[in-house]
Amino acid sequence: MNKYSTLFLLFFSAFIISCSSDDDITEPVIPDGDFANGTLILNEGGFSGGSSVSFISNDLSEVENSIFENTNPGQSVGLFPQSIFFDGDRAFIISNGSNIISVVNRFTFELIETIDGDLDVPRYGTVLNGKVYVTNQAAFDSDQDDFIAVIDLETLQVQETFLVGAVANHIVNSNGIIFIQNPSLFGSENPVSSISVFDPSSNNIDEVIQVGDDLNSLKAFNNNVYALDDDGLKIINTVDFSIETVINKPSNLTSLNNLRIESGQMYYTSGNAVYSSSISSGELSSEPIFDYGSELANGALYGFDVHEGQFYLADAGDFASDGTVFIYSSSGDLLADFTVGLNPNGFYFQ
Amino acid sequence: MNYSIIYSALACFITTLSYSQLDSIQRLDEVFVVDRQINRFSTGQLLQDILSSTLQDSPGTLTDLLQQNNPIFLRQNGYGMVSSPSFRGTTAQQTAVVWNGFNINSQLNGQTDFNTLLVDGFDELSVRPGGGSVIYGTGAIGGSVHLKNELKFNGETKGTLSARAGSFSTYQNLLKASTSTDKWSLSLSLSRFSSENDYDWPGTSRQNLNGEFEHYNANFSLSRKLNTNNRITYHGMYFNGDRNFSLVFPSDPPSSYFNEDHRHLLEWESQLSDVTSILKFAFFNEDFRYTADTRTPRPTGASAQTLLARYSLFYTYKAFDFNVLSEYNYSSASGDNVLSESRNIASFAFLTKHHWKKLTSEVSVRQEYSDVYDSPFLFSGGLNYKFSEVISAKANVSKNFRIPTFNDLYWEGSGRTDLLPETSNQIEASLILSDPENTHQLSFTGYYNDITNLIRWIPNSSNVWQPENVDEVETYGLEANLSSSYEFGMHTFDLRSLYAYTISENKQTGFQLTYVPKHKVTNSLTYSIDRFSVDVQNLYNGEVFTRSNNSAGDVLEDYWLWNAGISYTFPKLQNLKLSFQVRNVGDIAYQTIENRPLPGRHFFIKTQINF
Repeated sequence: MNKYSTLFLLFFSAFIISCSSDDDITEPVIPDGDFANGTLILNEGGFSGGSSVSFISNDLSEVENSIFENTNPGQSVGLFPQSIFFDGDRAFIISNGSNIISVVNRFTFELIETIDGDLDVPRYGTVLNGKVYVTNQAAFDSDQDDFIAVIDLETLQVQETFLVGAVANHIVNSNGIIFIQNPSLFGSENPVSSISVFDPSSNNIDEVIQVGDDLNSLKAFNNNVYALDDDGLKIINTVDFSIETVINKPSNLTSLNNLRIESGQMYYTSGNAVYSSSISSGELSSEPIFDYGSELANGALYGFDVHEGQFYLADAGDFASDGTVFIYSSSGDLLADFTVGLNPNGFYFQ
Repeated sequence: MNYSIIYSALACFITTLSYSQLDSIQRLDEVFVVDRQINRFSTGQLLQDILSSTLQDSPGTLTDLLQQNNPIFLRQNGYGMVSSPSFRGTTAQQTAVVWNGFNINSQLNGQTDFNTLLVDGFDELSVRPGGGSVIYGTGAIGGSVHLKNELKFNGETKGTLSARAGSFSTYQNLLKASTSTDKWSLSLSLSRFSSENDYDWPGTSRQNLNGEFEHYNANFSLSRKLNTNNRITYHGMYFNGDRNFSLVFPSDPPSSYFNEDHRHLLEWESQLSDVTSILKFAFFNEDFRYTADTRTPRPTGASAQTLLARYSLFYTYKAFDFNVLSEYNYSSASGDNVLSESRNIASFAFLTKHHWKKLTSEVSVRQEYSDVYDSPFLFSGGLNYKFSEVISAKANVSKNFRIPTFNDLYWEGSGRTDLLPETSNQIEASLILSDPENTHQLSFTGYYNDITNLIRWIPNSSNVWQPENVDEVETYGLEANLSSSYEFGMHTFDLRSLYAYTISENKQTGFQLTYVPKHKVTNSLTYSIDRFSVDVQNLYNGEVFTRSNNSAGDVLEDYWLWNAGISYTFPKLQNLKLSFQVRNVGDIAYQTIENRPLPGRHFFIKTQINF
């Protein structure tokens, strides 16, 4: 950050909002390719690029970095890739700094097409009925220009765009309805969070659900939508859009992040510690499974995920060096660590 | 539009006007510079002076000028974009830019963007490697770069007019004029530099997009001798820069950056028997506006103002030179992301130099008091020793600092007022070999610099980026300089060579800092015969790491860059000097920042009239 003009701060702060994966596998896929059995890691890079995708094999024996660049010489996923979503055997890599979505074969990583045009700081996508709905933040200092771009999965063209009326970030679908996380505007003096409910049949925002401050996770599960905010966990009914259940945050935790749901368990982080609670327990545990004290100087948790009972943690270190991925067992024992690319922000499981 | 035609027409007009005044020349040759300390109190350090003719011959900005013949490594986000220096392996905030004796690094981010300074209008530029905080304050850790205006009271009126045009629709123009009597002296310069900057990226099918810029710079100086002992002097500068920022990928949002700076300095010099008393007032204003996406322009920006009063006394007693300095500095800043705050700093410095036979020694100290942070006691000690006509040595030890900036202190939601200044303890020594006439000089300098409390922005536990005094860095290295002139009848050769070896290590990790090449070489050779001259330059920058963990795959490769030029002066045409330059002769692909290619082979043609 010697490169550190004042602009940098504005940018980076906006990019650092936590990240998650949204797997939307709707059809059976036969994995075939070098990267069929393992985990993809998205490295968001910095202001002068350096973005890349890394791959760790399922047996945790090796890592391969820059798989997109190596497979597609001379091509790049663009500045600040934010997230990946899948559709069948295709992976869509969203670059929010370069306003492109790189469509690759999910298992070989060969570039199929690059979607550009009609995107403005695209963030996350969710697939529903042959279309993908991608949130776009547009200007960072405005919450009135954020929109959803609707992309046809056949033509890979942006068909339509719809204003959200609030900051648009994470996006999930449940019960045929699209739910959009509306974090507060960056730098806003009155932070408010909400969830916009978008009906893809009428292309309308049907409802805006008010939630607590610092809404940071949105997960579709079991025909409900789960969200974390300052109050704790909220479970939203996807038929009448009411907040069905509120589970209060344990009083000794300052904030909850990175909600993941797997095999009847909810997982979340607070600071650098990882917690879990049973989905049916009705309360949130305040006892960490393990505390991830970063082994890197100034490192902090930058990406987190859970897969088959194992924890995947990404540490961006000083945000100027190659990041590290740590994989922990379900009981919190370190299984493996790998050096990946610059600023790893998320995991995607094949 | 073809600016060279317009300027040439203008040139003829102005030239005719001024030519008639040349007959009343009184030769006094008193050159007056308001930065009095640099030549008097740089004991133990090797200054390098760049004359105005070189400033005018070098195309472009301060970045272009300092790449050659200097150990400074400059990294640019593409040609003409944000340019940050690394001097002796230090960070961008650890090079002070000094304008007529005053530090002008930004109050907001603590550094100077070397592409926002057009220097062809200045009279002299000096590069002073090594610590200088005792005199020049914050940021003079790796070294300092001094922009100077000169005034003369010799009754001479003269001017320079030049126009350069070149590849990528690049135009650069300069008008510089001065006039004086034995009581008055006036000098002004106007520069303009613009480019479409749409160069092809060598070795790719891509082009530099959204890189156009247009800069203006004006300098104005006026001095009046009230009587034999009193003199009032004003220096002013104005810079106006309008840039777009080059895109890394064609689909990136096009951004733009506009900045406007003006600086004013008023001084009253009074000669009281053995004492020279100097009272100065200065006012600096910096202002920028950044537009993240020019298609939906909503600029954000900030501005900072600095008000300075400085009183200094110079006193010479027998073999001693003394200088007492006291200064008061009030700065304020406000902007879209910086809280409106102000800062008061008072500082006191005492400088003393002693000559004894072949030994010159200097001891200087400074203490600052600020209402925001604690300042360390700063000192500098230097020795010059002349062993013989051909061998001399220098040594210097100093403690220097870099204060937290307004962004560090008051960035909305992030700034911290409990930061400490960065501090540096350093030592250097030089050996200088030269012939008695000084036509050949070879020098070697070794240095060691220990820097602590480096301020770095990192995310805290709630992922908010905040500045912290975390890093410790150790830099050391060697610089070798050779300058040589030969004359054989009508033939003149001038050679300048430099080699710099730089190690800059993070003490916690042992890794070399990013974007600091271990090796840098530059050579320039000029051959002149009569009115004709040819020059050839080359520049080598070694490999640099782009990741702080020095990962082997993330490097910018080393490169050799060649430039060449020829010029001819037509004596019958107002001494019209016509030159032609080729830059990056080998058309090599190179970068100084990852994914920011710089131009391949390109050309300039320049006309200049001195009158």
